[in-house]
Amino acid sequence: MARTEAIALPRERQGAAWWRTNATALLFMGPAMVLVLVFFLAPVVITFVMSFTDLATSTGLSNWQWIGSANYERMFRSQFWFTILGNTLVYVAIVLAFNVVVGLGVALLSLHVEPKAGGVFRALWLLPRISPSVVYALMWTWAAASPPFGMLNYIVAPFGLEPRFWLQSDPWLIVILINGFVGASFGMLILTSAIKAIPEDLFRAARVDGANALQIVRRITLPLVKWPILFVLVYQTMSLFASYEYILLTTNGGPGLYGTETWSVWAFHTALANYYGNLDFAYGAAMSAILVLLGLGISIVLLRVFRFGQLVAEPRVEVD
Amino acid sequence: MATVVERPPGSGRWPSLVPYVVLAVGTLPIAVLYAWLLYSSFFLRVEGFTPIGPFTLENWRFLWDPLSVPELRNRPPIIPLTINTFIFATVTSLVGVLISSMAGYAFSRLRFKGRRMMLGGVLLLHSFPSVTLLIALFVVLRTLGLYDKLAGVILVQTAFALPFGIWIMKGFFDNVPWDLEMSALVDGAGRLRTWWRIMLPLVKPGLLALTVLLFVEGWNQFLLPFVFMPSGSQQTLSTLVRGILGEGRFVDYGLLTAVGLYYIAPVLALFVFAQDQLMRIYAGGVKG
Amino acid sequence: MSKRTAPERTEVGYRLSRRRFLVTSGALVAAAACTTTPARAPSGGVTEGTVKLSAWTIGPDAPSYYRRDNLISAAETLNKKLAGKPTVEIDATFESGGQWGDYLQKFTLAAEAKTSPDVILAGHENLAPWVGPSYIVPLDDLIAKYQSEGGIKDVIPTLWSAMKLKGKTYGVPQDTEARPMYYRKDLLAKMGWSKDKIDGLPEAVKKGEWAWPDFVATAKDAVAKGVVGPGKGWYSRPSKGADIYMFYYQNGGEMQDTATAKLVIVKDALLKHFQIHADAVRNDKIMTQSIYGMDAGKEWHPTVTDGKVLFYNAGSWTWKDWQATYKVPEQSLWDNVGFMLIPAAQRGGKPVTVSHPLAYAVTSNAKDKDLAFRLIANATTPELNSRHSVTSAHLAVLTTQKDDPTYKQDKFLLATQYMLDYTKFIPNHAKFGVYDDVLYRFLGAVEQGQSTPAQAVESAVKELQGQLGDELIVK
Repeated sequence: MARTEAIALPRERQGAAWWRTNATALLFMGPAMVLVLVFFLAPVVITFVMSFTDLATSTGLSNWQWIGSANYERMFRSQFWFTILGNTLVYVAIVLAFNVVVGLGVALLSLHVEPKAGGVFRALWLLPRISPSVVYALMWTWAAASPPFGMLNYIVAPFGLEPRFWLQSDPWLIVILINGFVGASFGMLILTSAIKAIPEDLFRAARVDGANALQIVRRITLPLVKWPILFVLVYQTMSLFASYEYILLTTNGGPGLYGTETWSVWAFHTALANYYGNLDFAYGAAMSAILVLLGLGISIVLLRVFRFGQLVAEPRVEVD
Repeated sequence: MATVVERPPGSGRWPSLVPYVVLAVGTLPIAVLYAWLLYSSFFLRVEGFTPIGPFTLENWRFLWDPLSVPELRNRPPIIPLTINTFIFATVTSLVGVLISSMAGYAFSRLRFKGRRMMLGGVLLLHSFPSVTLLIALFVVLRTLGLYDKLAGVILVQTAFALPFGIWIMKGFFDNVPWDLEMSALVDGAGRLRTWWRIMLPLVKPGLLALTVLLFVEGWNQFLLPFVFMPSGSQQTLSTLVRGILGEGRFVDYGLLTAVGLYYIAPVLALFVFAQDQLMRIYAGGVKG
Repeated sequence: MSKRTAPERTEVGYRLSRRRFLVTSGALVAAAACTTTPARAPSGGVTEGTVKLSAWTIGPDAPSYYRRDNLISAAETLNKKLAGKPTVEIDATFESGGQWGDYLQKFTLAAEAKTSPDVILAGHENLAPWVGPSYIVPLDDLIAKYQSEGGIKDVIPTLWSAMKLKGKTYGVPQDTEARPMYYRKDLLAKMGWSKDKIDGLPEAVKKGEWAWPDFVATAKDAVAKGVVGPGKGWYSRPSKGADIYMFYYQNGGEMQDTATAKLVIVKDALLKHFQIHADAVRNDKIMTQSIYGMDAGKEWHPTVTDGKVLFYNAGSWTWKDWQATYKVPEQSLWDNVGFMLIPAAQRGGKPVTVSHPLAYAVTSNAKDKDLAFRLIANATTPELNSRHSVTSAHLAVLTTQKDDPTYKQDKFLLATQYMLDYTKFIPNHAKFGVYDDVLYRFLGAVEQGQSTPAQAVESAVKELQGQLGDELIVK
């Protein structure tokens, strides 16, 4: 950008300028900062602190005590923490791959076909994202229901598959599909718009040079949507670590011994969904804390690998 | 932005049917699911794809004769519920867009202490499973006197939407050429004025797309109003749908499919209307 | 807010709430515009000599709306008795449309914020966690003081025992039920059973003459003869719930120690409990493996109401729901469906069922606890409880209900009332949810063949000890 010299114009004395920039930033950032601090960061800190207490419905907010690391010990005393951790990693990895690959695929393909048809396909792919979770989950649980109720059995029958209760026989398949489509919806949305924002000239030039569609995708589209792909990747990683709702509404962590229970479903079950009403807030908070560390660790690795530094690079403007 | 047109890059070079076939096969599950939802709302019971009993409008009678539906007998009528849900979704999306676009602008254009850390932090915050924050949020809301107030719910909902909103809006501001803004600044307009007068109109596609997405989130939100605003919690459509679903006990699934469709319909209409805008949600990151 | 009479309740309730909602929304929009703190919606002024009482009940649950409406009727009765000194204004609302988890959580938060209602309806075991933080108050003194009010003195004694925690009473029973084993008369007839034998089955079970081995043999026979499809000899409850413990109790299980109030696990009973399910699903194949996690509404009930399953255990209230939701004519139920206790483990043993009474409790937030209790007392009358019983197929909580004209007309309630003599409860213990979760998951593991009953008992007990510590007694 050849405009840097223009920036020198309104500059005043160094100190005052510093103050002015920060004051302006404060003005713009203020509302968001307050909201994030008060309704996001403070609760996160409270939750961490809470994980060292015995806070539960049965203590209330007035009768709790500090119990040190007892919640963490209890968590790792369970025979199932390792199973659940494994579930979580498998779940995040597979669904994430589904999200990004399918999302990108649909974005590319839907832009490749006739605009009208592409619009229709994209509309259908957005449906999972915009439907209320209970309705969306209802459709899946119904599809996967036991014979003779489930639709899936009728669809696979011509391929010679025995009718079965999919939610129980293949719980992971259903969990991955239900989450996969929602996430792919998100990926498709972001990536479609990113591809659409690529200047048409670049494609035209490539076509003039005789590149075929695959070459164009590989040489032009993909490099140019690297950042949005990274954004989807990181954002979805964290979404998936934190996600619980569709598992809760379909397999509910079953069948049997924590078959599809992920760490956040475990935390939710403990802290918020006890069938008999005694919610173990503090124990659930300890689980959330572990989950956050896990999510943070993996996100930081991802960001390192993909050189996040450039993504948060200083604004090009106001370079002096 | 208006110059961007949809184009099939390299049309005619791939066998033209292949992408259609791949898309159609991939989209089939979604199409089948939603078609089934629509179809089964017109029968009392469906096994697989086979309806049990004749075609009926019975499931839809909540629209004209709500009192004959036991599940709805003790609930507010559906039209006011729809209006309430609409108000809630509109307010939350507008507040969210306003705040996101302010912060997004600051992240994109201003230099200040802790910028990098905050930008990364905002994204990482998203990794906290927001539901497990409910108790801590309750403590915060109660301390501020915002428990059982719509304002509290809206603020929390907005805060949860910020990581996404800020990043999206930052992307849009990143893409606006610096020239226009600069000339306004040189002319002596303040930052705030420049942002409002010059920048916001330029990122309109982003504003619209984000508004639509946040609206949808507000429309579908169940937990926050339910838990944090007990006095008004029967007042949204999401509670109605959850209520019909009950505890998995005696669910009138026919009714649920019909009400579910009714619940999706406005969002769907909004979406069909706004698809073009939505498909421009991500403009950032194209750094030539 | 004025008293609401039944016919106009929907209208009035909705208008007020909507106005409140709109006022608050309006205030917020205004507030957002001028960035001031939003004003609280004005609450109606209390006139001299009136006491406002508020109550939450779960719902609106289609057949069980009298849980709320009975309180409104009780306020009218109470006002007649009080004759204006003072006048009670009742604001009773349905909360959360039947989702217990949401409902309980909402109450917990409201109690912490000191905005909870004066009266709360909950399952008896839900009261236990609320005692520690004093969200609810013990009622023993009030019960003694107002013995003659409403039907307090006529409450069935065993139900009081379900309301107790460490010797104190925290709730007044609102309704109860039994969880029978239903059986298809038409299918038994097809197997060659005589009408006398079919109709005499409940009595034979009651006397312990027809026990679990007979049950299993009959179900196997039905599958073998093709009277029912494979896995459709017996359907148990497909989801979490108190019903599951019937088979633990049947085999001599205990869940709570009366002296220390600690949770109890009896290893031998647990093994038999797991074994019964493992046999049913894996060895005898009288129950489908799909049972675990099957959806009640879409799969379980349609299958049993179609008459495809020989035996199935479910709550007594399902009798009404099969008519209301699944459109089965009542006469068809009487013709084809019978109900009995859960047969004893062995001949000569005692059959069993489990009940889960709901209760009204007085919260510590209630300004006038006497009036709150008297409201509950006046909702606990043969007349009011019977109309709830009859509309929702719940059993009587008062001894006097059996003479109530409404109750007497209901053949089904009369025919199942005896089951309360054989009933057991789930424990009132703050950590029961943890206990239940572990046992439920291991039950699934056994049914799915992930572990043998013996392994499951070992791991489950170990897990319980790890999670519950010294709150558990292993026998």
